[in-house]
Amino acid sequence: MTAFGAPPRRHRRRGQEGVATVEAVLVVPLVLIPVLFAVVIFGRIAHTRIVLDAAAAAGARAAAVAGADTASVDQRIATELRDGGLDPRSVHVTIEPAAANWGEPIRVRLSTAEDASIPFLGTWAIPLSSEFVTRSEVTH
Amino acid sequence: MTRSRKGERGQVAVYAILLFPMLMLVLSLVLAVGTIEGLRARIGAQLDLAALTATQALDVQALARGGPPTLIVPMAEELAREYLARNLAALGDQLGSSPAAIAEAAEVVVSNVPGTDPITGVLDAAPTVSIRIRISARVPLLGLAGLGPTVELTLTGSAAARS
Repeated sequence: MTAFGAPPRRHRRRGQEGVATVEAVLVVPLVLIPVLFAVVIFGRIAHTRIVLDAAAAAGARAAAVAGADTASVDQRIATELRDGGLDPRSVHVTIEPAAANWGEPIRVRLSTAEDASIPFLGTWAIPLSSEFVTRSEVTH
Repeated sequence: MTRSRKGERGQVAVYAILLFPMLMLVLSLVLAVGTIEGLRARIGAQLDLAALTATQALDVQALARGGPPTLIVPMAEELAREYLARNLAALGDQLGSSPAAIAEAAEVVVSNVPGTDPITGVLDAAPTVSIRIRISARVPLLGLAGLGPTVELTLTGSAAARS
């Protein structure tokens, strides 16, 4: 402690107590929360993509066996989507052509949009799709 | 305001600014690995479906005579390459080369006799089509992490024809 003028050491410390905490409270949400949300959203997008792939592959196989866009194919796709935790109503299914003869290709395409919302940055609808092509095994 | 208070103010902000690039580096690496694994799974499914489609190349006449299922080798190879290219086309610009070129360069093995599959190493009891491809895939997140934006992948798929 100095003899004249300077405030006691203890007094200075007390004045600074909590400064770092206050700064952390201000900075951490701005930096870490968007990063945390980005990781979670990436995981959700990856999950949706995997489920779409599985459903499209299963749908393509069912379409090859049926040789057409039938209710059983739609049912198979819907079951795969539900098993993966996706709402089939949120997924657009395209099967082309509607009927294919033996040896003709059939394309099954599933598409959806995953909402991504990151605090302080914004909200986006991320388009996701999956497509498989197989060959009809049926002669109509 | 004292000298020491001036010195300490903004410490956390400085740490955050210094740590932010490191955080972004780790994050982009994590996302890149996730992207690569997702791509591997998707291409693996495409390979399996192409191989499964190729198993349609059954010798129907031999089957009608009561013989065991047998694949017509040239037709099975052609179907495997055709449907591999058709399916890979869905990946768009994620591939380093064209789907047709990848399918043309793919290693396709059609086996009608029981034995160990030279591609998958699995013991095949039924006629099998196996495919192996080596591709370079574009993963832009790797570029953010300071690495090359492409990654080399070797993937296999197979399917068996059973009556």
